[in-house]
Amino acid sequence: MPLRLTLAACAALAAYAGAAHAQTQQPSDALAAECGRDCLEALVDDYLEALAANDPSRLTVTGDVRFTEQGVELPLGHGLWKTASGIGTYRHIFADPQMGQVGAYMSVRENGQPAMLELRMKREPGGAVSEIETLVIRNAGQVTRMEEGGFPLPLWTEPVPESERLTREQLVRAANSYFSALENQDGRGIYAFSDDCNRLENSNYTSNAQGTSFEGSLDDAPTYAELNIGALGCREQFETGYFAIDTELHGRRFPVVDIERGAVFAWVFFDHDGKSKEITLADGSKRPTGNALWTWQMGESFKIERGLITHIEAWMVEAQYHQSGGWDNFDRDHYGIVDAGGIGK
Amino acid sequence: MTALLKAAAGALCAAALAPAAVAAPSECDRDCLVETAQDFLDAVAAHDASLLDWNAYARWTLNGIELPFSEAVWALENGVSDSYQYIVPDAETGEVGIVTTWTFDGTPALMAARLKVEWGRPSEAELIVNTQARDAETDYAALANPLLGASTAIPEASRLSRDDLAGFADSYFDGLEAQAFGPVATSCARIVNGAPMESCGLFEPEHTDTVSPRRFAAVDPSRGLVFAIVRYNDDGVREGGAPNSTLAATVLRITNSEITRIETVAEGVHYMAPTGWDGD
Repeated sequence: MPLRLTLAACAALAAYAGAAHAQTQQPSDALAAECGRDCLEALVDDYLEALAANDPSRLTVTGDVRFTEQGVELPLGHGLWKTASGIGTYRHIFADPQMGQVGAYMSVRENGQPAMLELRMKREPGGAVSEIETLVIRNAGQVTRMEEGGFPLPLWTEPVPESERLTREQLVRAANSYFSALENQDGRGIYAFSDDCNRLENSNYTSNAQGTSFEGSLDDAPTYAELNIGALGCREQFETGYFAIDTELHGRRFPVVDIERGAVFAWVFFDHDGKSKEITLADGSKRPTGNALWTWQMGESFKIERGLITHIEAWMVEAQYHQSGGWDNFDRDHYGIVDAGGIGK
Repeated sequence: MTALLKAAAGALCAAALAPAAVAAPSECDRDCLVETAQDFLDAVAAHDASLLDWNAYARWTLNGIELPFSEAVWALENGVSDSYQYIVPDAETGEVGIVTTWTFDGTPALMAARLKVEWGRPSEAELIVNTQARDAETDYAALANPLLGASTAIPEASRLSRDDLAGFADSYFDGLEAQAFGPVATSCARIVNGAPMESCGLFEPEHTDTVSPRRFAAVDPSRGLVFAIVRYNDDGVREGGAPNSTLAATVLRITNSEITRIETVAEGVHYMAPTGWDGD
């Protein structure tokens, strides 16, 4: 390996591992023994019940519990805690017992309207919750589609055979490779998708989706329909270089790694700096874009099998350009994790 | 409004108006602030921040988010129109408020900007931008003649103090929180993102339950103007919606001890999102 690449790889590893940070939390089998998957999923149930009752006191939390909604720190009990009116039927949970972390996409009711709640919680030894990170997607039609569409697909909950399980670091690297491949995409990267990979975004399939319309700004990009990007598979889409419209993917965090199921629950922002009004696709052709100044704020999850990304689920809201997620500095202080943008590049 | 109430409101605002304990000197009088504002608009139109002589520690935000001086406004094609534009200088604080129509990245937009000048150079720029793409009901490019009468001087004998002016503005926001009428004239006119509202007594935006934080960034007693930057917050409980906030510059004109004009440039943000300037 050339020296330059070796140094880059070492730097990326150091960034991910945060090896020099004294307070970096390490995976703990003892933590997993105290509260495994069922326990963490029960914690999610507790959260939903407390939320629907508009009563955070029903949840056992630490004295310094930290709560964010849409990346904004709020006192626990504010935001959706005041407006929630019920629990929906869609539930997709990711468990990371060794880190005491659990992530989930779940439908709820807010003042009677369906909404999607993305939730991450950190459970401390003994059972109290110390971190609660949420993103609420308020689109009744999208949520209803998930509730009535037979989601989540069974593949998400199927365990990976033990002999095929990847390590925590490998799973994070695989997830991060997706973000790196999108950022200023040129169509010539390494796109490690399975042939049957599919991506679900806010209830819509945005790959292998012939005839399926997209919601959101991608519809507005004049070349999108022309390229028929949505009809292509995951790898074929990336090989066009179309996603050069995503100019920076900042605030990448991978707090929940479900090793047993080969899944990663991540947070990220997709920035569009508005500078590029034209992109050059991998075939050399130039296309105008509808690129304006804006950002997607999202939770995005990956199923990774035999070294390839096989399925993706993302839920997102529009945010102010280059908004912060509210946890970057906190993670740096507590877990030694900095923005992992360098990994896999 | 009684003198007692005005005095109380003025006292409440004293902290918000008071310069920071170690504030750097502005070294920029009224004319200098107006000139700085115009230079700033020229730099925006040229999308080139380097046209201004910034302090080394300068920072800027767009809708509450701090960005490099190479991003967004400073990297995209803009054009500034003076068809709907006014400037509120405050030589005492070294801050100046600007409201103007412009095109941002080719899209008609409204901008409210606050600049702070220290050592004769700008050190802070706070932009609140609402584009026509977000507010399709208003044709920003067609806006003209702001209601404020910002260039009309108030006779010296009729001028209120800075604290009193800010007190009126504070009382208006208190009224919104309490769903009560603030100290507004019956003839008061109000514009939000370029669109005339039915009256000044309605709540702005509707369903506001708190107006916090509030900053009275630039006060101009000679024109009776207060340029305030606030965040309107709706917890979603009262009207059965979703929690949401609106970051806004609200400019009030106070004449004859009544609020007669209110103009707001507002952008929806996440509920309770940091403003970038209030220690949040």
